Amino acid sequence: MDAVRDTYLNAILNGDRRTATTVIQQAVANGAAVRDIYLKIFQPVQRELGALWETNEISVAQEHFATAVTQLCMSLLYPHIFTTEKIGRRLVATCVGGELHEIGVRMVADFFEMEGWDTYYLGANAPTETVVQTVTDENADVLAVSTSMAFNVPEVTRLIELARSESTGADPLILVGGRPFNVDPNLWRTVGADLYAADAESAVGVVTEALTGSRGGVRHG
Amino acid sequence: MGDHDVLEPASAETVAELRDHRAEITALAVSRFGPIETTGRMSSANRSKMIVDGIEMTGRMLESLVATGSTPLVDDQVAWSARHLPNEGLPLASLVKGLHVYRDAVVATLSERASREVVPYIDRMIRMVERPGAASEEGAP
Repeated sequence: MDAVRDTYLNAILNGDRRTATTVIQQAVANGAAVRDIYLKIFQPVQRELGALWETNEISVAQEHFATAVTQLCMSLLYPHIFTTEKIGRRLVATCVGGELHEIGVRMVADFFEMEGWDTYYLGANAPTETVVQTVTDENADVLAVSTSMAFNVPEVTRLIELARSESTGADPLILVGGRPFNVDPNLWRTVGADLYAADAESAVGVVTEALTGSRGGVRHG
Repeated sequence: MGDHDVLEPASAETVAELRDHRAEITALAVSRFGPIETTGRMSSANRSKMIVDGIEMTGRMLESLVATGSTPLVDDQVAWSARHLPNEGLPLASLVKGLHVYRDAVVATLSERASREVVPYIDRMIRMVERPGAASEEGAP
């Protein structure tokens, strides 16, 4: 998988979308698990791209191009993702209003989809009231909320407060993630969430544990 | 960072006051900033935009940090800025200047009670950026 990751990273850094998509499709054809593609290729490559942008080794345009290629490759994998038998659980996954970094929470939605959940992925910059309405309309079991930028954390708090307000009638478990929550291990409690996960794989794990009661005490009143 | 003190979370009243006065603080800080030192070639229009964008971002960030009372998040954001902004043509000296200007604008605008709660956040940011080697550190301390 390391060789595939390196080829993929080099391809997108060289602006070679065709090679990038081909190497991913070939990896799956050769038996690679979609989860591994996400965790061992997309996730580390996106982090590497962020580091390269931060140190000015690639431009904003290159970073955007690369992210678009990764999103394209994720879409190409959907025939493999939407094959799991449904288990009757529903997830709404979203970035908060103002937040544009959506790949992380999109990965979370896809991992839940692979576990048989019905997922409603709302993407970047979702208006708070719209998110809450979707949670209510879809009778979601879990609301997954993401922000990468620290200045959007107050909007996470506002979204959670609104989602919990009695007027909405919604009562989902609320999972948060993103860089600010990775930096401060207590921040998820501060914003009023039920759960926190550092990545898509652990998101499925903590939610499953919470719903099956094997991690008592994470649920707010 | 060798600075293990933690910040006290601000009261809800202070968070609201800071939020309600953010535009006013931003305008005052921008008006007081003066010339900005940059590296590399940059037009005067881009320099002006860098001041406005930087001050606005400082305000948004500060509002979030004060609202959450998260010391690790403060440290992470400053470390990130110290690593990244020099690559954007903004030397650390200009970042420190911006924080001092913003601090003064906060004190001039907010009530004394609110200022007492907000200023320690800015002072911590200034101390972090002024430390030797701040631009080369990896992530939060």
